[in-house]
Order: sequence, then structure tokens, then C-alpha cells
Amino acid sequence: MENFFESFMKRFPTLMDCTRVTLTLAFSAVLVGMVFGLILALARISRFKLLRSLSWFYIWVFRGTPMLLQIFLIYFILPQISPALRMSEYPAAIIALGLNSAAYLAEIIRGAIQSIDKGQLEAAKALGMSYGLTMKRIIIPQSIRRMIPPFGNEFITLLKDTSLVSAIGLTELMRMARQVSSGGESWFYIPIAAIYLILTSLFTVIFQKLEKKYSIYE
Amino acid sequence: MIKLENIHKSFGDLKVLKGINLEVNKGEVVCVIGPSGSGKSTLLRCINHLERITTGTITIDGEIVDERKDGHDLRKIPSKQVLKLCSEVGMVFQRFNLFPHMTALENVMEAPVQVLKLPKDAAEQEARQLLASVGLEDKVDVYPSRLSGGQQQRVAIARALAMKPKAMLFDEPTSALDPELVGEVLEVMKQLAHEHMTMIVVTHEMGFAREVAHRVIFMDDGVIVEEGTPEEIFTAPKHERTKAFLSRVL
Repeated sequence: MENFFESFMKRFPTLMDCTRVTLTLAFSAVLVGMVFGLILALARISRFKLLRSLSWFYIWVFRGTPMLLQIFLIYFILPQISPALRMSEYPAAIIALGLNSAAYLAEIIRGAIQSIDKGQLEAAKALGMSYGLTMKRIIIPQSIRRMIPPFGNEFITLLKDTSLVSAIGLTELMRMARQVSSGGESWFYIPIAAIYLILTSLFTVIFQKLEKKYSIYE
Repeated sequence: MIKLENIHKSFGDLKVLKGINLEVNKGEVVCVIGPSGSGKSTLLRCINHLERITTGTITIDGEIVDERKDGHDLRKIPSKQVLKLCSEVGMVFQRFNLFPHMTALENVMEAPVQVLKLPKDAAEQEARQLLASVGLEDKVDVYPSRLSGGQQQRVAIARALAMKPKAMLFDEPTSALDPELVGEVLEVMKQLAHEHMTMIVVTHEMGFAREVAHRVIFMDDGVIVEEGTPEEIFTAPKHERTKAFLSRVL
């Protein structure tokens, strides 16, 4: 027991560093995912068939293939197509995770936008508001509250999926667990699991609070 | 002021409007009555492009705002101009359609600030005056979900008036209200009529039509069957269909 404790305390600073890496990956990826997902969602409900088809195709591919494969594709295969596409682990991981979550977030955003009553669009149009202005001022702000619960789920999934980038050699929580355990201390998976659990619980509570905050007008 | 010529509207194979001609003068209050499904709401929605007419010409204030034949534009109207037209004709909906994430005040200020680019404090001052004129000065900071149906509809009227429209369209403004709340909305509309606002009102409130309208239009099955002063329509209707309808609702 003494041994475990000493060994744990010795690794605690590294453990915190790795937690920070995991969180940075999740936040950066969800940011990429949100921006790109909003664009995909707007394309998906656009008047232009080409935009709708492109967006549909993207979502189809990224939701229909394994995330690990997408990570390998971006990190190993792209540089073979063109050396200009070579990236270090960090950006490659953020891009891969971000592009994947964009596909899921796009569907969440689209669903929320389309759930807003058609009367809102008509009222805005009758007041002379353009489509862009109506989206920005009327539809998207109302969609946000409806997006929060599925968005929270997606973020928590993404947080756990960051463990996949250990496969390209980025040292985050999962890779640390593997490294320590391969040195003979396989119990180290337990504190790692605990950290994931603490993080996901924390964000569950945060998203519940956000949902409440955004429902003041209902 | 508003001139509709030979208006036809189809949804697929369903012909909803079959050749409507109507001219509304400045300051005139026209009430449109008729059984549900007669096309009266559709007619109203066509005027500000919420529905596109299939055939016909719409002129507002001497300016052609839509001219189409068999579903094709005879005149290309840029979308900027369509939006400008929309903002010049106020619309009040049966289901209010207030923006639920904004307070009463923000609802009224939204379009003047965002569309007309009015400075915020000027828009706010005007919005407060408008809300006071519909009797809601004490509800400015309340969200629509905390307002009664009658209060919501009065905010909606104030919101439309904030754009200083040349005319107001009312699409069954009291049909979604509890009976005891109808009066307060009609009161605001009467006040508008007295201020010589040009109004087209689709309504089932025969009392309002009789008291306030300058002209009453009876529509059935996509055509105007009969029109005249409230006197003529309510006391001496000429057509059988008008008589039958009035005997059911009066």
C-alpha cells in the first residue's frame, strides 16, 4: 500500500500534465467541431442542392467510419499523399477529433434549428429581417438551449475518445496509463479511470447548469 | 394603397385563390370574413410574400411588389426590395409569434435596431412608448411566456408598429385567445383604426367588423363573393352564400 501511494505521488505531476493534455485536446477539438459543425448544419438546410449534398456526404463518411481510422488517415496517410500535409501529433489529433465531432455536432445543430417553430421565421421576415439576420438573432439563439443536452453528451463522448490519439504517440492520460502499466504497474489504470470519471461527472453537472441558465425564458 | 389584381394561388393541385381583385385605400379598414378554408388567410399572407402568388399583380403605394403568371415571375424583384416591402407592411399573426428569448421590450426593439439601424436608446424610447400605448408599460421586461395571450398579442402589435408600417395586416388576431382576452386586443385595433391606419383584418369577430370596418369582404372558396359596407353585408346580404354563412355565425 505504501508503495502504491509513493509511486502515485511520484507520478502525480505527470498525471496532471496528461490531464491537461486530455482537456486541451477535448476543448480544442470541440471548438473546431462547433465552428465546422455550424457550417455543415447550415449547408445541410441550405437552398442549394450542391451544399446539401456535400454536407450530407461529409457527415455520412465521418459518422460511418471508425475514429481511430480517421486519426491514422490524417496522421499517417495524408503526408504520403503530399509532404505538405505532414503535421505533428498535436495538431493532427485536434484536427482528427474536431472533424469527427463536427459531423455529430452538425446533426445536433440541424435538429435544433429545425425544431424551432416556422412562425418565428415568418415573424422575422414580416419585420424585414434577412435570412442571415434571422438565423443569427432569432433561430440560433433559441436553438442553443435545445442543443445543450445532446451537445453535452457529444462533448463527454469526445472527452473519452481523446484516448484514441494515444495510438499516434501523443502522451495524454491513456498513453500514460499504458506506459506506466507496461513498466509492471498495471494498477495505474485505476487512477486514470478515476480521472476520466471525475472529468465526465464534472462536465455533466456543468451542462445541467447551463441548461437551467438558458431556460429562464421558458 | 394596396391593390390586388387577378390573384391566383395554388398549393399543388389545390386552387386556394381563384382570381381576387381588391383595392384598399389609405386609412381604410377592410375586414375579410368567410368560412375557414375560404382562402382569406392565404390572401393576406400573399400580400407580404409569406406565400408567393401563382398569378396576378400586387401593388403597394404605387409600387409593383409582385407580378407573376403561372408560378413564374414576370418581374424580377430583388430580395432586398422584398424585405423592404415586408417591413413596410406590418403583420400580426394568429399565434402571436413573439420571439420567446427576448423580453417584451426587446421584441419591439429588435427590428428597428437590426433592420432600420436605429440607435439603441432611440429605439428603446420608442418601444417603451409603443408598449405604453397598448397598455403594457409595466410589462416591458417580461418574457412572452409570462404574458397572457392577450398581452402577447398586444406586444406583437407594438412590435409590428415599431417599423412604422404603411399598412397593417391582421391574420385572425383573436382566434387563439381565451374569450375574456379578446376585448383588450380589439380595443388596441380600434384605437389604430381611429388613428387612420390602413388595415386588412381577417377575422371571425363580427362585432368588430360591424363596428370598425369601412368595408367588409365576404370570401368563400377562393373568391370574393360579396363586398360592401358593414351595413350592407350584415343587414342586407345579397348572396345566398353570404346569408348562409352569416346565419351560422351571428
